[in-house]
Amino acid sequence: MSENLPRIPLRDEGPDAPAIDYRVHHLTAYRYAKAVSRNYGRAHVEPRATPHQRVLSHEVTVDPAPARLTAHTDFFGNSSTYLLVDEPHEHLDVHSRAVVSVAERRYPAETLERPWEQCTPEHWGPLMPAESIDFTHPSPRVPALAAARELAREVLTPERPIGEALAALTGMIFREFTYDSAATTVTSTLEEVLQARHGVCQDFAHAGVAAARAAGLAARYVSGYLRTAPAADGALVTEPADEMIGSAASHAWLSVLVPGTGWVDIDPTNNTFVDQRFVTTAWGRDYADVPPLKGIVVGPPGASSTLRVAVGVVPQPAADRPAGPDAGETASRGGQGD
Amino acid sequence: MRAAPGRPAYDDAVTFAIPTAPACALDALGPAGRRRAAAAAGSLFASDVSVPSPALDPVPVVLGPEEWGELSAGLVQRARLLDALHADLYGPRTVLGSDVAPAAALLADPAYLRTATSIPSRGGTHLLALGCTVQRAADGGWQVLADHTDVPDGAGVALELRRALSRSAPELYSSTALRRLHPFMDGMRSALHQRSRAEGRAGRAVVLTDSTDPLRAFDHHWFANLLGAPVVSVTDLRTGSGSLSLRLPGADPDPGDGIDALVRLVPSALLDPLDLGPTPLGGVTGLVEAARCGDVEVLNPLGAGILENPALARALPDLCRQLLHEDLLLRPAEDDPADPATPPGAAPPSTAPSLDPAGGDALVERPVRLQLLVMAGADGFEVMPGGIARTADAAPETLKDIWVAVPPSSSAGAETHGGAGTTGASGTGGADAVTGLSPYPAMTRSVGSDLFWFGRYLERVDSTARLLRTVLDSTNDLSAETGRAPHTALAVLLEATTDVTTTFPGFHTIDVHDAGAVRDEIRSLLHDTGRPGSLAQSFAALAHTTRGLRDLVSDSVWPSISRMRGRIRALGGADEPLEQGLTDMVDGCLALSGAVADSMPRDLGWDLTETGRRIERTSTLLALLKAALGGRRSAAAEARVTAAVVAITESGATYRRTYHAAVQPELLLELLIGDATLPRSLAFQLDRLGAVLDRLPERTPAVELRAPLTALRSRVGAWQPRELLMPRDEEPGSPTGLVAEAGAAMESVRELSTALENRFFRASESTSPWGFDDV
Repeated sequence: MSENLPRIPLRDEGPDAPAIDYRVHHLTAYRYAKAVSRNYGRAHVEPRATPHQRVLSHEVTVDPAPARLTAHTDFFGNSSTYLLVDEPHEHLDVHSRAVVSVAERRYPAETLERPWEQCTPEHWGPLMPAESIDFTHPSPRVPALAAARELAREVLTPERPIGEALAALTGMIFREFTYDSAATTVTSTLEEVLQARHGVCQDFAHAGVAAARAAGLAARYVSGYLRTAPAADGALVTEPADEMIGSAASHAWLSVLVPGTGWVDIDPTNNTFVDQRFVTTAWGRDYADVPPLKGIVVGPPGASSTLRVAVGVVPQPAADRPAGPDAGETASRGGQGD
Repeated sequence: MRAAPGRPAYDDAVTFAIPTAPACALDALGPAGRRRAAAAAGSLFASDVSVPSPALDPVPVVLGPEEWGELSAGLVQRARLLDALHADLYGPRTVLGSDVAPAAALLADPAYLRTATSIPSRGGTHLLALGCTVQRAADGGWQVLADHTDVPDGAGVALELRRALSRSAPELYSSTALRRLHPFMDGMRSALHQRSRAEGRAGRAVVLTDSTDPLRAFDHHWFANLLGAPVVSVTDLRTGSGSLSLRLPGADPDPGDGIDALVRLVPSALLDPLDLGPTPLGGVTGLVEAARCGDVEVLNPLGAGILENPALARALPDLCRQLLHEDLLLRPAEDDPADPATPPGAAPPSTAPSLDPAGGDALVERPVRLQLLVMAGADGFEVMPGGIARTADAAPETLKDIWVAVPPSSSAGAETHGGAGTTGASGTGGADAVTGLSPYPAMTRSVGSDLFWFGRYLERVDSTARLLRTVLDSTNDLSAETGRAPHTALAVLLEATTDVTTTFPGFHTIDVHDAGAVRDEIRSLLHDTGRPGSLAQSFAALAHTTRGLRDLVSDSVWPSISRMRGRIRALGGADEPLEQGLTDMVDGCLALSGAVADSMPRDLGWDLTETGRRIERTSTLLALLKAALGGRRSAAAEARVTAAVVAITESGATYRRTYHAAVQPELLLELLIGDATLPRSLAFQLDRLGAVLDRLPERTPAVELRAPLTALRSRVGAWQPRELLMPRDEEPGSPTGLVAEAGAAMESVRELSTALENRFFRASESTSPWGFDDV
């Protein structure tokens, strides 16, 4: 295994980099050919607080004015937003704006040295929340599949240290799966994705989750964003289009539970451990638990619509922190059709 | 005292002994009397429910006061425990972190709806009802075989069982003081309305069902009736900003008419396409959030099905200690966790003296399971004092009544049946009558549509039966005659039958000389349920629409429907003339029509039924006139056809009073078109339709409704029978002006019907998901 494996970020490699503040702006814009009468939506777009991420501000705005806009903390601890537009409308714009501070993630070397076999539930110890077992089960979008067990066997060789195993899993999916947004959508089943070996970031994340669970590990699906400023290594798939609102859409990766250090996030789409370039919004068992924005529209039969999604994740100097989350930004600038 | 010795096979089992008084009553009935009572109860049940009855057994399962006290205390505790578990699993989830809950099994259960968390409850309990199936173990202790928490139904069937059996064996039921079921349901109704009470007004509760299974649909409708709540289907509901409202026929929902309590008898997972996933029922988009925001309380709460998890049942003893600090009173069934295929209750089940399924005279012991219902009352959970005992052996399942005996010292709540139950009681009496129920609209779009179609099918069955009766009559008479005229007349009448029933090509491709082919076609028109337009199919449709209207139309329609079902099956049997059967069908329609006219409130529902009937009768009459009188024939043939039309339209007496002349097409047309006093005339139908349309609720003037009726009235108003009957050319059989005119009028009727349906019943909008799969 001498392939190009992602570097494992270990704690004893010098001082942590300072936290980076991002201004996040996620726009979902529907245009309807004929006026629709009602629109219901469920969003998971509010960045969530994690050990590595602080949410300094967040706001969802909906145009036209929603009759109802509520949020609650869902089963997995994510913020879940409900919206209802209850009047005839020809467009629906949902803006999510946030300022988050993302710290560097590094793991104590010794915890990633333990063999992956010792990361299964029977080794979790008494302090692990019992609900973590949820992430070892098959879930709606990630059924138990022979092909996933095959993947797991390839990288989770006996006694392999978990850090190395996760790097290998990341590298293997990155290498053997083709990123191809045209050929698949999330509607493809995992079985089809594993068969065809291509897909989008959601599929890559599902493939990783399936392989980890096939080995008995707890793995969850994580939804979020990538910074849209040009990355130093240029490896990011979601290329920036604009300083303000840029890359195509939201991103997804996976996270695996490693006793002693917690959840370790890997991104097979970009062949990397999750670092300061990533903003986390929500996690669940799979995509179905945390789609960024879904809904039901009620309108004349056969009405058609067009969708535009734009995401901007722009670093801002920490000095600007007290400013409003969206000072000076407008939704209509920048962005590209999707 | 045991009424009969047990069979050796069940010697180890505990039996539900029958006390002296009912045992004597059973002895007095004797074997034949018991069998008669069972059969009578079965036919009562079948006629009420409109489905073939399951086997019923009048020998009750009797629970003494002490036995009942023990069992009901255990069931109430179980309900409290499951209630606390629901609150925890959809709230703080502390039990998942404890050692005693089977966290992995619960999390892996698809019934655990993760999107239905953090939903508050309005009443003192989360659960409204809990169904439990229990039996006694060999040591006499009670054992729970299954909990039903997602859709705990069955109360309606239990009350129907009591009604049918108590009417069929009145001596048996008057032998013993037993707890009545109605006072219990009255208490539940009042508790539900108390619970749903909103600020400054009485609460509105509705019962949601979408069962296509007739027995379950019956059960749900009766349960709703007992709770005094209208029945709705998912398409009748709409969430908005701050309320869940009913979609009424023809009107947009008024946000002020919110529903406070939604008693759902539909599985949770089928209810909200936004948060619970795609559903074949369409669901109520936004229901989960409406419940979370407190717009409406959903009962049992969404996701309550997780409480049926088998691993959870096994963990209940520990959970009871942890959550309630009590010992669990009712044990779970001892099943083998390693082998899920082991049927629950493989241990020797409790038995009860029963009729011998093999037909013997003596009572035999049969294993039974008791199906009981716990509901949240004003003072916490209460157990319905009765239920259904189901036999559980190799013989076909038999249903028995469960009696809860009243303690000898007490007479409160006792009912000595005088034979007739009071089960038809309307749902608005009792304490609520004092506080007053809010006048919420009882009619939804789906019910409105059913009422409209009830009217149309009732008329269709009636007209088809009359038509076939006359045609059969004519077939017999005319085939006996010789010559061209009788055959021409017969051909015209048979083709008219095809046209009126729209069963094309039908007689248009059959040679009327071929008696066998004619007979086969008539048979098909009578019996072929798969053929739209046949009598059997129209009747099936009529019975189907009636099922949905239990709480709106009179109870007396069920016996009529049931009798008609029996008649239609026997139609054309060996032992009786077909004409008599058809006359009985016509009589059935008259009885239905009378029952409805004599009991239905004159509100929107009545108007919709009336509209349906008038539209159907108009189009049937037009089709008949067009087919029968649309071509000129020889005077001899015409006289025969006209006589048949007189018979079909029941206009003979009026005709004879009005005209002294023999029956002539022109005079008959004048009568059937223009005599507004004749209930089968066109003028009469159009007058009624006009009056009804004036009453229908309209928020905006509905041009699309009025235009077809106006067109129809002015067209028919201009008709001159003499001109209508003028042939286009001289050839015999050539079409008259009536053909084009009646055709155009029928088109207007169709337009009117479509406009009504669009306006009142149809969702003019479609829903489509978005973003579920967007990247």
